[in-house]
Amino acid sequence: MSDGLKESTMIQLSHAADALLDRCLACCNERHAPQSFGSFFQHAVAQALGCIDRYRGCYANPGAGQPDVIAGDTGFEVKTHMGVSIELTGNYAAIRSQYARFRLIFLRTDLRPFQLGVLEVPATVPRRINLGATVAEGLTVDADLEMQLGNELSATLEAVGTDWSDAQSPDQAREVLQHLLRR
Amino acid sequence: MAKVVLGKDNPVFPGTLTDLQDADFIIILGPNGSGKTSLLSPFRKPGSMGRVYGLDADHRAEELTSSTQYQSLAFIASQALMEKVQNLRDAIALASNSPRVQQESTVLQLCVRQLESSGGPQSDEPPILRQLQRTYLDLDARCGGIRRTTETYNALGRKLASACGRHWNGFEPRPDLAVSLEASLVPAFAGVRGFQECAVSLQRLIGFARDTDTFGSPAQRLRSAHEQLARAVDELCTRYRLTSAGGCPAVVSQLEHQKQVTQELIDAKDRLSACRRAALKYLAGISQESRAPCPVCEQDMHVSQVLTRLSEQGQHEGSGADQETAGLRALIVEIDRSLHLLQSRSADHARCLQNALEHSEKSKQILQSVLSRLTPADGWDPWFCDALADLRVEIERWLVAHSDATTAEAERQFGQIATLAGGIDDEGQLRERRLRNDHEPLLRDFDQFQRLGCLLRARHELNAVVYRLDVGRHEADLRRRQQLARWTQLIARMAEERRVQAETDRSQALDTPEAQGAFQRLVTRFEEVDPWLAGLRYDGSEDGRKNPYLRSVDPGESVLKLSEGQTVVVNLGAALTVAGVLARAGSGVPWVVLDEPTNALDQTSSNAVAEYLGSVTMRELPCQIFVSTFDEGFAIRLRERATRAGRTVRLVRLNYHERGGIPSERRLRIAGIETYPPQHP
Repeated sequence: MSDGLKESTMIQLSHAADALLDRCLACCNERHAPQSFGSFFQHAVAQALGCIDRYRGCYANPGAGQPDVIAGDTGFEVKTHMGVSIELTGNYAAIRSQYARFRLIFLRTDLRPFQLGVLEVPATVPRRINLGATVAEGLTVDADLEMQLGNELSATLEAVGTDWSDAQSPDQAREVLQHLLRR
Repeated sequence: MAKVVLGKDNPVFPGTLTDLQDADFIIILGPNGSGKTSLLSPFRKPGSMGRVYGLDADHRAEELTSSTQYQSLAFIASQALMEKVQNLRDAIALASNSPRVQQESTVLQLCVRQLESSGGPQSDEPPILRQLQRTYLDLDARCGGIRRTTETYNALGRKLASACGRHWNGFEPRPDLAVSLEASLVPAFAGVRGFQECAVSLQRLIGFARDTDTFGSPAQRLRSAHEQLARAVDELCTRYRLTSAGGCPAVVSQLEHQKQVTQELIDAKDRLSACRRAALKYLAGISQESRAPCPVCEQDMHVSQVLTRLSEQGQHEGSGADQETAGLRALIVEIDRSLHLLQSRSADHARCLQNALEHSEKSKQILQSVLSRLTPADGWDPWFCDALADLRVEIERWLVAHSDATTAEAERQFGQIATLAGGIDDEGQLRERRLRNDHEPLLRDFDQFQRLGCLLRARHELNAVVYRLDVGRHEADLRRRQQLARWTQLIARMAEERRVQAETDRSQALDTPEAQGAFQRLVTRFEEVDPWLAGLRYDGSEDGRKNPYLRSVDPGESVLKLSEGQTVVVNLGAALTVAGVLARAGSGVPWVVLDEPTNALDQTSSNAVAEYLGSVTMRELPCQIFVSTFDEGFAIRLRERATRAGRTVRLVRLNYHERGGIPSERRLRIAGIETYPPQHP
């Protein structure tokens, strides 16, 4: 790619997982709570990350000023976003500086099928990150995690199915995840 | 307007027509092919065909054609004058150019619709994908509470296979095979074999015994009736000193006999009393001294003695005999009561006996029926077969022992048989319940297993669809769609502007009393040439379909049928009306150009048009008028009429331009320019 851009490797989840995400988003919209879809997704991502050996034992952190998911020295920011670029405003720099590694896990909800991507957030947090077909030169795609997370997230969502997508609240959805995926 | 400079694409280039600012009526006269229309073409289509200039306040040349808004309205070609019209609305609309603008609006709207209907780039998503996703979600919703994984499915499969004594291969690697094997793992119901077949018979047997207990034992009732009857017989025998030999019928017979004897005794006593009364009456009538046999001892004695004795006896019997008779009558009543009691007891006994016989017969029928149905078959549960064998033995024994009337012993043994059957039934139901309790979880597992199997298959099919969104292409498409939307919006706005402009042009030209009056004044000038044409009137109302905007004075003539010459005159009137309105409104119409207005007109009409056009005053049409014509007579009449109307006329005479096809040889040839000042009366 030219102009300081390089190709993104955003991936799709399985069609089944995509259908469940779509249904979940529709349910959130029906309840006039579209913003709660982000929480649904965060719980699912935390569950899926926990299935990857490297991040086993990771936990979701609902508190402000912390990444959404923490796994040792790695912090994860989980975003659902409509659009090509996202503004990283607020205290991202402060949050980022507390972790050796920091990943932005995002789901493009304006595209069908949804597109999942994992970007390494550099030490100097850019104000705006492109989530499109191209990423800026300074950013790196974590393609391995992207692929692993895509597989695990698909398997996780498929395992809980509509019990998760039709849950009345993110808390209920998290309980479904914990109940059905208890090993 | 000061000059016309021809452009390089003009057929008569090069050429210039200058110093026009001093004239307000310019007549271009020349034969066909001399370049009149070409000379005037910069008025209609400025650019490479040429440009028109005026003078600004400092007498510097200033291009006018680039700023003239209504230049198309100001150029009136002969062809436009010949357009067919039916009324003033047509004519003025034509002159105001609103149909063209409206047409442009329509075309633009059509473009918008086509652009919108095109809907941008088509998605290459396979249509089956959405359908499979819907199916998958429906099936998933039926698996609530289950972990939808292959592991869960296989675990259930293994469990069910174990219960069925089969082998389970698992979902992978052949999902279709796994699903097809599901049906073979349905848990078969393992109840007490044979129990259900015999359950009805057992229940019938138990029910009959239970009814017997509930409504009382017929045998007991018979025995009770028998005892009551015997007690009654014994009691009566004692009371009446009867012999009990012969049973109840003999006792009844004896009682009836005793009753008959007693009745006869009473009758005898009654007869004796009657005799005595007769004897007394007889003896009272004979001599008491005479002798007569005593009616009692038959000794011969005196009548008086007999009377005395009879009287004494009668008195004695009068008290004692009545008591005896009353005792005898009471005895009869008692005997009747005893007979009634005995008959009642006897009837009870007979009824109980009949009942007992019927019950015995029914018991036999039931036992025989049950015996025939409780025959074990191959494959029946061994426990159940053994239990049935015991029951059958007892039934057969009963049938042999109690073939005749019922007895309490028969009933007791029947009750033992029913108890035995009840025990078998209870035990069978208990065993069935235990088995069902074991079977139900398997059925639930199988239900989940099947649902999960269908879900996994649907999911497998869904995930096998090959479709990956090309994000780069999608984003490019998105940009194109956005651009298309902007264009569509722009075109829609242009269409709307034209629609509004057409409406405005039409209303400005048509709906003003000024325009209507101007037109009226113009057509009245044809009084001498064409009285019918001069009689046309503008009808401003719009209250009916047949109400034209231009009508004849003849009220019955609603639609105009104009000749070509009349059409030209009406269109010319309309065009000059529109141009006049626009010029007076300061809309930037500095000139009106008429290219060959007398085409298709005969001499008379041509003269009329010259008269008509030349008479248009500066007040009526406050701008320069350009008229091109090949007709010198028309030009002269026009010039004379225009100067009389107070206009300065310039007559430009053209010769044939040079031909030859070589651009450098083409040019405008002006033969002469003459200027005629206005003639003021």
